[in-house]
Parts: sequence; C-alpha cells; structure tokens
Amino acid sequence: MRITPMLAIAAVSLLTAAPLAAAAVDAAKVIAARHAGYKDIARNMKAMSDNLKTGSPDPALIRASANAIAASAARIPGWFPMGSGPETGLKTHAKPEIWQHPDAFRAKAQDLRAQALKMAALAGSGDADALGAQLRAVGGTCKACHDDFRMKDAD
Amino acid sequence: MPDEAAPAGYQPRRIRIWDAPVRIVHWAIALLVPWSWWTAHHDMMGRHRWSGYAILGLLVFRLIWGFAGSGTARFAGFVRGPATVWNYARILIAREEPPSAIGHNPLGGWAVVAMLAALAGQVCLGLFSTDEDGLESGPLADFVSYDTARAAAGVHHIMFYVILGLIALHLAAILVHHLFFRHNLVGPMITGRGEGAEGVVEPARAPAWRFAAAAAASVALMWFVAKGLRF
Repeated sequence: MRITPMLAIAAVSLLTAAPLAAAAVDAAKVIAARHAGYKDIARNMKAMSDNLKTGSPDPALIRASANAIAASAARIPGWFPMGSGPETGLKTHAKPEIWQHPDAFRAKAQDLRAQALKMAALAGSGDADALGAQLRAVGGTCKACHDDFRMKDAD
Repeated sequence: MPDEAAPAGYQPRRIRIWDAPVRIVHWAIALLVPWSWWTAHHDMMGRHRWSGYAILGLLVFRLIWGFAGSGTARFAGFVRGPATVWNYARILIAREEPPSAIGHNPLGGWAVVAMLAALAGQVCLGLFSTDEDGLESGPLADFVSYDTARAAAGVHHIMFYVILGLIALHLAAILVHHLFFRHNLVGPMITGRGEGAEGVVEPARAPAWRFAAAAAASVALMWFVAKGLRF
C-alpha cells in the first residue's frame, strides 16, 4: 500500500495531537500535585520548628516529620516531568533551568533528603541546640534549591 | 507663616503642642515602616521581625499614652463625634479658615486612629505569619496551623498597601494644610512647638515618671510577645 502525503500528514497529526492534549490536561494535575507535595514538606518543617520552640523537643514528632520530608525529597525529581514548566502558561514558579540542568536539580533534592535523614537520626538526642542547627541545615537545602530553580514572587 | 497684614514686629505666640514621646513615636514609626518593607523585600527576616517588635512596642506605648499622656496625646481630646468631623470637613471644603485649636483636628484625629489600627493589625498578622516553606515565621505562628499562618501572611501582604494608602492620605493632608491654609504641621512635629492663637491654652504635660512607667510596660510586653509568650 502506498502512503500518500495526505495520509502521512493525517497520521502524524493524530499521533502528536493526542499526547499534546493529554499533556495539557496532565500539566495542571502535575503542578497541583507538586504544590501539595511541597506544602506537605512545609507543614512538616513548621511542625518541627514549632516543636523546637517549646525548648523540649519531642523525638517521635521530629523523627516522623524529618522522615516524611526525606521521603518527599526522594519524589521531588518525579514531580517535574517534561512539559510541566512555565511554558504551560499555568501558575508555577518552576524555572526552565530545572529541565535544562536536571542533574543539578536532582542533586539539590538529594541534599534535602540527606539533611532530613540526619535530622531524623538526631531526633532521639533531645539536644535542642543541635536539632535547631540541623533544622536550619535542612532549611538551607530548601533555600539553596529555590535560589537556583524557583522564580521569585513578582510582588 | 506670619500674616502679611500683621503689624511690624509682631511675634506669633509659640507654645508647646506635642510632647517628646508623641514625636519620638511618630518619627520612629516613620522610619520603621520603610525599614520593615525593605527587610521583607530583601529576605532579612530576622531584622524584619525585630522591626515589627519595635513597632509593636511603640504602638503599645502610644495606646497607654493616649490615656495617660500630655493633653494633645490623649484620645479623649482628639477622637471626635461625627457631627464635629462633618462640620470640620465642610469648613475645609469651603476653604474657610478652620477654628484655631492645637493638636489633631477632628479629621486628622480619625486618620491617626486609622493608621494606628492598621499598624496594630499588621503587626498582629505578622506575629502569626509563616513563609511558604515553613522556614521563617512570626513568634506566635506555632499557635496556629500552617494554613492559617499562610492566610495571615497573605493578608499581611495586602495590609501593607492599606498602610501605604493611609500614609499617602496623611502626606496629602499635610500638603493641603500647607498650600491652602499656610498651616505648618511638620515643624511642630519636629520641635514640639508651634504657633498658638490667642486664647489657646498650652496642653497639660504628663510627668516623666508616667513616661518611664509606660515605656517600661511597653518594652516588657514587646519582649514577652517576641519570645512567643514564653518566659
């Protein structure tokens, strides 16, 4: 059977149109899911920060929060599939650099995971000063990644 | 400004209008509001928090001083009823010379109340706010959930524009008084003294011990809040 140019164009259009449409639907979901994921990290950060303010840290709470952050950190690279950046026109602070330098981005997520695991390991010590310092180290990895890969608010 | 028709050698009567505490509170807030904006804008949250605590202390002091301070500092003297405010506004709109009095005029008194209330609201919102990442937060943010603290931060942002609007109104009013009525409102806020028409009585001055007591109470409360209501 001869493939006419018209048929070829029609076939190519069909093949490309379907995934593009699917991606457009998914991008909104992907962005919503990763926002929820980051909020979950923020809630755990606040839970630890609030707990440390009392001066008598709760090992179970800190271990659980830190482990939850470490687990989220492992998922971060998966929250940014191709086609879920600012080019979607959706509300996202994700910089295109995430997809231009995926290895650097993945390393930042790995830093968060490593510091969060350290925090969890330190939870049982009950040493408020050490835990405070470690929480700042965890926060430092958040900030380091945001500096490179997150857009600043316009306001 | 001296009246051109005044006889040669005429010296306007200078009287005390604002006491030192009122002026200190005024100029400290005038410096701290831009400083608060600057530190927030440049991610200096430690300094931003201390700027907020300082404003809190000043507001608490001003509240006490509104009941215990010198004559022109007291709310009872400058918070006037709607009829008085309306009459005063009508005189201004007609560009007639308003009745001579010292201290806040009936409209300005309410502007002061609005600015103090907006600043108090702003400080309270800041105390409960947290940033998007749960990293930086006000000293009372641990009393509320992450979502509530985020909502507080959202209103904190909007409230800043409300305060900017009130400041713009404040500066516009000073300009109107200067241009249309030749009233010098800035000078007395710097030196404490200004022209007093015949028959205007110099306001009663609060004793120094009352200033010391009010300042001590304000600093103590500020410290308690800054430490997250913990001793």
